[in-house]
Amino acid sequence: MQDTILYGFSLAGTWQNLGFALVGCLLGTLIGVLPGVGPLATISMLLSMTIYLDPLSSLVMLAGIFYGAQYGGSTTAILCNLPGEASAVVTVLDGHQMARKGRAGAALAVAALASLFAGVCATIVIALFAPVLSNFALRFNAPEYFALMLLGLMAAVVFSGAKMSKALAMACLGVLLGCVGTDVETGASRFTFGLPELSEGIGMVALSMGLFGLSEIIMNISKSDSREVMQAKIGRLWPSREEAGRAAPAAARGTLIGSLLGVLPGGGVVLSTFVAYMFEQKISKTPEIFGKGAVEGLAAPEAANNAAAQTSFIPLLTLGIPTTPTLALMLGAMVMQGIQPGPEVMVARPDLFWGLIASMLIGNVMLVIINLPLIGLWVQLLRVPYRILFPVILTICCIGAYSLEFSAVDLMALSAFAGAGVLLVAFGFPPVPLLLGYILGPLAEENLRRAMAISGGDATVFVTRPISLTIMLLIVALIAVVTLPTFRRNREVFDEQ
Amino acid sequence: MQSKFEDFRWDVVAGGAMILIALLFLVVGSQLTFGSLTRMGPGFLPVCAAIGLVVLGAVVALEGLKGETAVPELPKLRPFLVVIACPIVFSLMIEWAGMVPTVLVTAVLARMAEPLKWGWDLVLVPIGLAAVGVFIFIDFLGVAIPAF
Repeated sequence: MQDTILYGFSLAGTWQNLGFALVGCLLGTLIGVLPGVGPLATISMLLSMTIYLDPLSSLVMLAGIFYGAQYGGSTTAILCNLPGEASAVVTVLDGHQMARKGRAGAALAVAALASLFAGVCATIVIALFAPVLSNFALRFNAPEYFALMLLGLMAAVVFSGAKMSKALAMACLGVLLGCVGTDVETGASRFTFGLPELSEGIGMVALSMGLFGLSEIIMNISKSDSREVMQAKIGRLWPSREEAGRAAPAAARGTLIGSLLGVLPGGGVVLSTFVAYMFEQKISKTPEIFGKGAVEGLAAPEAANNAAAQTSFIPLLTLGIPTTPTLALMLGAMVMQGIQPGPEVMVARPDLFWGLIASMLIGNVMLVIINLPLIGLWVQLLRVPYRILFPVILTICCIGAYSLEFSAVDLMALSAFAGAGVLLVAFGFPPVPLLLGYILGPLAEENLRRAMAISGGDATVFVTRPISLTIMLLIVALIAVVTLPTFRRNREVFDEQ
Repeated sequence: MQSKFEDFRWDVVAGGAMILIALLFLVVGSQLTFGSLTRMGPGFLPVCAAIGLVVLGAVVALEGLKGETAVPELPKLRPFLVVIACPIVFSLMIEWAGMVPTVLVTAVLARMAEPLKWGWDLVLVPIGLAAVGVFIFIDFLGVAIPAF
């Protein structure tokens, strides 16, 4: 009983937790639906809300926020032709065209149902494979973990879409920022400049909320003249029988592709949406309608996106490695709750592991239940002017960030990171590697120390152990692939598409 | 003036800024125990990362010297300053003024990110936010901030 999904439901399925899932979904959609505010920004701004709860309830609410933010992002993408993040770029192609033809309601319903199907399937994949992988991961030791973290960091650098030198610089800066605070191993204060508020390090909420949340608000207000307001009617909500018949198999194929690719570090989620779309176009009998409102072109990438977002939890839960920036925030939130994800969690805290899996299923179902009837409301929200929306978000962010530690330093940091976030992006420095460096840095340092202590200072330990060697070779391959000229040309073509 | 802005080699400045930040970390970090490979001190990783950042900053600056110049997409000054000021004002007020006055001031300040025009939202949004602060954060979530 202790190691099945039913156990998870018995914990996560209480009325109280269902309530938190509902609130999470609502808040996630509410913020995620705002134009220009992608899932990463949404989660970074809502993180502070979950800290007050007990670990399981906070995981349940986080899962709700996660799905709400994803779905809210798709809604904006479809209605306003504004992808909030890279993985929604493909959704826009056919989704927005459907909306322009007066089928916005059907497009939103197809996206929601395809996401639900993909989410449920991928959660089952996690429930089946995560325990197996966890057992395997128990054989991992410090060198393997260090190598994995390096892989995660390098993937974030490589897939950031910026110049290699700038992305690497951001990763280094992130590692340095992660060093601020008390060194866990020796107890020495690092870069605290005598401020007691910094002894626990720079707050993750302040860093991510500033870097991704507030800086997006600044850019949105700056560009607000060009905001396209959706005037078209939503139309009938349900897809026609013919549309459903075409969307269902496409969603199934997208789910399969997403589930497989989601496990890859770095670009897995984004990649899966492109692959799913191109695959549909290839096997379609009418490839010419793609880009003009083909329902398959919406259902497949939406399903792939959601499935991949889901299976990307596998490396996080079994190894403690976040493969996407959103997962890095989820990891940070778990650590704040005193949960260190990794293979031990499943053995030591089966309640949390299965509770999370169950809450993923609950979150997925909850999302569709509340969102289909509320689509009209979200559309209204898109019409609310910025002069009302942004003061609300900004003030609530301030209250949220302050109430974590009651520290003025946190809010100063929030300000600094908001300004830095805008300037970094303006000058072509990607902020995502910084976040990954900041979160993975301390974990990597701990494992590097252990690895070196075990091997007696022998740095070859990373290439003499088979698993660690494999991961190191993967890193080399990853770097080689992006720096080699042929691939670079391909990637430029890919980026243009 | 416009062409001067576009031709300016911004990456050289950006790389230089990276080097400066790295040097700060390097100077402070070098006062920490470095240790050895077997027993790494608290200064090991920061010093290595800071050296890495110096090198990368130099690479960014050198790359910026050649090739086409990239024009930075700068934000408008007004929203930039206002949004950045909000958390600072909030943090300066909250300890002595309490939730309601702080929220009112922050919300009105945030509204100034865009040109002010009279509308009922100018009054209703701050009041609504103060209510959220009191009823949701203090009463429901139990955040220990006095209302006044």
